[in-house]
Amino acid sequence: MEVVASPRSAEDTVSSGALLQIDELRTHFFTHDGVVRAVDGVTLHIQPGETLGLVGESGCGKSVTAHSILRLLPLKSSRITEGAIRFRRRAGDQVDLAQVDPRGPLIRGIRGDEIAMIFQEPMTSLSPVHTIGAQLAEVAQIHQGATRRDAYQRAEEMLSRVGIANPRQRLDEYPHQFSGGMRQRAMIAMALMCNPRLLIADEPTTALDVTVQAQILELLKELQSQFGMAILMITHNLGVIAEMAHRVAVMYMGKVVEMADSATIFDEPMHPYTVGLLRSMPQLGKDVKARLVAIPGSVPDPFSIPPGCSFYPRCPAPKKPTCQGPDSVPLTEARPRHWVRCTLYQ
Amino acid sequence: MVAEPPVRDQSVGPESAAENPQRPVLLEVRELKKYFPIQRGLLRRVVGHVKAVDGVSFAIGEGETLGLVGESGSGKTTTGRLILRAGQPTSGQVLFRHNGEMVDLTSLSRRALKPYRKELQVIFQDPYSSLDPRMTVFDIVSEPLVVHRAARGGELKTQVRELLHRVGLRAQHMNRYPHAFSGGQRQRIGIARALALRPRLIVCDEPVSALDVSIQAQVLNLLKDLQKEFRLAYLFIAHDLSVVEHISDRVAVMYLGKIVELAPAEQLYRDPRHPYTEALLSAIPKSSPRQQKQRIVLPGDVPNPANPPPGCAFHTRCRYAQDICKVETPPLREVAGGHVAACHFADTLELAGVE
Repeated sequence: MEVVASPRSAEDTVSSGALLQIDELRTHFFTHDGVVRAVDGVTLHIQPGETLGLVGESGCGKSVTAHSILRLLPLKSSRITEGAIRFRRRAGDQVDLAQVDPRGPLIRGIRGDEIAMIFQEPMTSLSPVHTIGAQLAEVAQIHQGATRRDAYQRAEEMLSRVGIANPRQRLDEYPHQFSGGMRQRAMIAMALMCNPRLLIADEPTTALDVTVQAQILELLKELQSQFGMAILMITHNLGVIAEMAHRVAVMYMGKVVEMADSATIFDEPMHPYTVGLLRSMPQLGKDVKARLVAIPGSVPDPFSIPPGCSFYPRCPAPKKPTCQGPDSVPLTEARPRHWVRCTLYQ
Repeated sequence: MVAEPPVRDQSVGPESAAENPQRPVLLEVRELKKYFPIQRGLLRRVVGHVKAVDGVSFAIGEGETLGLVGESGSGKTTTGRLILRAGQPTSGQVLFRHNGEMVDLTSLSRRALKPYRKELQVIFQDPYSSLDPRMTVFDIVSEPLVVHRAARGGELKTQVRELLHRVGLRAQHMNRYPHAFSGGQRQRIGIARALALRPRLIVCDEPVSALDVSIQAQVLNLLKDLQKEFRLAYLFIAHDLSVVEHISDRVAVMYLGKIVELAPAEQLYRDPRHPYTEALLSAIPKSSPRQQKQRIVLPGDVPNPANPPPGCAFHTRCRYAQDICKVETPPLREVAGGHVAACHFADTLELAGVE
């Protein structure tokens, strides 16, 4: 089952020692109306201890990418058709998560232990009928074989680490007794129970108010410096990216179209889509009365993604014949450590 | 961050209401209150009240945009609903200028209210749940015209076609159902419907929060264009302060049912006088990784509106709170021209705004 990583094509964004490396991942959904190529060329890597921001608009495949890593996709309707998700385990060996049995012991040992995930809506991801303590303790009982007593001890410690007052008393409460911000803290505590190497945060602050969002982002940064885990930060909010990410991968229609370090993405974006996204974001205190520069048109229908460059129909840049396909545009390293999927830079 | 020379739209700036006090008042809200009873037990005894809106006053001029910001539960949506008479206020007045006179909408019967309904419209947050999936786009956009007997037959078709064209939709699509449209397009359908009766005020309740950034910019631009063209006034309710700054002439900040600060947009952002405004501004994620930001992280959550803290409702989270704040409710008072704040120390605190 385990596939040992081998050096691959020139497309490889290999940097040795990457914690997670995804190569041209394709996850497709098979529906009555046709095939949805939700993830159709995701290439990215995450170094140990860093935060990679995965940014894109709704339907671009960010969450499906995350679910593919943990193999949480519906078994009947979806399949990873191509690509590799290589993850370096604690012991130092590498597994290709794209190849493992999604119901097997290997992935179940990794999920929640070495890779943990937090979700957008904490109320729907916590069980309403179990106490916070039971839900947290379960993680340690399952993955570390901890006794009930030790597991509760650890749960209490984690609650206090994420800034919940009176953790002992809070262990016996149910999620509905927590406020939105506290639930998100509890979920983070649960995710960090086993000291994961990678934390996947899928829109962790989208449902929260700005002041609470600020609390949670500060908390995540603080916990990262204490625990040293890498974070895959999935969001549509460029502000959250600017705040959190060391490096950024931008997705459009199932593909990573650009990846570079955070400052480069914001200061010198190369892909016309990234440029458009940044321009359409209203900026506090800047050019307040000017018109926003919107990207024309809307995201294409997922059943009929244009061949070649999927951004082509909305792209303001001068077109090249190769934009329209038939071949898809490869992700290339246009500048050192700056990858872009655009014919302008081929 | 993106290299492009800033283009300032000169025509918008000098027009803003704050700089032009002569702009006639279109809507004035006075001491508006809405208390929702909390009922318990078999007999549904009233055991308390949630003071969702607790004495809100403001005015909107013709063609002006007033931004209303605050966190969830601050009462901004309820305020919008009360203005539209989608809920009956507990007390207070909603005065609307009609044929040169200020009419109190809260005192009118349903029937008497009908002519005013044409002039006040609403755009909702979620373009998925606010459109009836079993009505075609034509049905949705024409409904207000039919209900108010404003047009029929061929004239109705022509008007709907024009409205759709105006909001950037293709008239050929008017026999389709909402599911065939994307989120941004659906929001345009909602805008076309709101425009149908040529209103003078539109309550926009989080009109772009459900949209993606690239689509959000399209809709904001459209709202601005329509405002110029039809001299519309907007009450723009939102939690995103950068969006609000972009579209508003003046901005009001709400906390637990009360307005804590109201000022011309630029003044509020550059020189906030209420600690809550300062904290809200500092909580906005930065727009570039290079930007340096001093963040004020507010402790805790918004208190329960059924049981707000005594004195200044913000004192439990305020880092400048003194003893007086715990007992005495600060009144909303003028601290500079057209700038009001409800803080005991509004004159002395040195608060940080946006550079």
